[in-house]
Amino acid sequence: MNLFSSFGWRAPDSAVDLDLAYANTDLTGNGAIPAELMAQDRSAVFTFPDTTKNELFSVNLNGEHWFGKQVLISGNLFYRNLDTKSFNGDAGDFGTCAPPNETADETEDGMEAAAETGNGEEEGATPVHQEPTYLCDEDGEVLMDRAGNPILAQDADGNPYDAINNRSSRQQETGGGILQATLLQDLFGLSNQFILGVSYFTGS
Amino acid sequence: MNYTYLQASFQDNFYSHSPNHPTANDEGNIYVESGDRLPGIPVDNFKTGLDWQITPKLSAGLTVVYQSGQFYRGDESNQLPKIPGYAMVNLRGEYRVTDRFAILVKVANLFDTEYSSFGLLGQADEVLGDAYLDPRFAGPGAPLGGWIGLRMTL
Repeated sequence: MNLFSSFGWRAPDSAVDLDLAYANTDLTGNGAIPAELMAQDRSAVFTFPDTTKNELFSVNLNGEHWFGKQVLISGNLFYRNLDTKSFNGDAGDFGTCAPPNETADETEDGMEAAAETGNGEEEGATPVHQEPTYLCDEDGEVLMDRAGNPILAQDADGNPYDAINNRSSRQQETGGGILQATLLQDLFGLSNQFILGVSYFTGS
Repeated sequence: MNYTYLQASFQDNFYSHSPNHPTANDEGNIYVESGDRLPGIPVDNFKTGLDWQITPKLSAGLTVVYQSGQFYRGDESNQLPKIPGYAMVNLRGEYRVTDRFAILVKVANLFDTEYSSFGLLGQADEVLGDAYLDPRFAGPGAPLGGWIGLRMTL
């Protein structure tokens, strides 16, 4: 959705223009896709879901005023706010490694306890369980989830956790203004145009 | 009407790192020769537009855009076939209901031309599995699209 509106005001010596714009988009598939995948389905995405949402708001104010026939003061003020939110998947490059020590003990105890409860009647049944492996970064540090627990390398069915979701949010704000004076007085008897201006821009 | 002829080429011989290129050597480099064209830059760009004032209230416009093929990014040595060029037709129309109120219509890619706007070399099998060996990636161009707009003049 795009909205644009422009308001103008004119007087013999002055003019003011105000432009307002708003845009809101939700697009899928900014990235390139492999040729073989495109041959199968043109609307496919290489990594899922590859969505980008943009929301833009911008204001632009222009004004000018003539003081007599030879002095023009003009100026501009603008503000622009762009929010970009993207969501995409990617292949995870994480390795696997043994559990961190203290957690390993806890986990083993926990699993043995569970196994014992499950096989409570069968005396001597040795619980067979594989040492759980965890996802690690390149320094061998075990990755933790947001609650601070180590992340397993695979789910209960043995499917590896080998992908990551990337979610990003970017807010850009820019604003600024220009003030300019144009002086048309003759200089040393010759026609002359003298322009003096200041501008200020800021962004984050 | 606007036509641009752009011959952008490398002026030196050098090795360029492109590990996914089929002709890359053991270090993942390809050999670029002077005169090889820069990837991603079509040689021919052509754009023309026509506008009609059909009635005092109704106007329409048509643009035709053409660009020739471009090499994949990563194929600086111009060994692979180019991403094909394409031509596209866009339409626009405006109907002035009153002096203050107009309806705008815009159609992009009228014939739903399937084209790629850019391409590069990558590694698809890492994500999709071993069956995907072709290193070429391309960005599909926008399909047929339409917009309706209203303009109010106060």
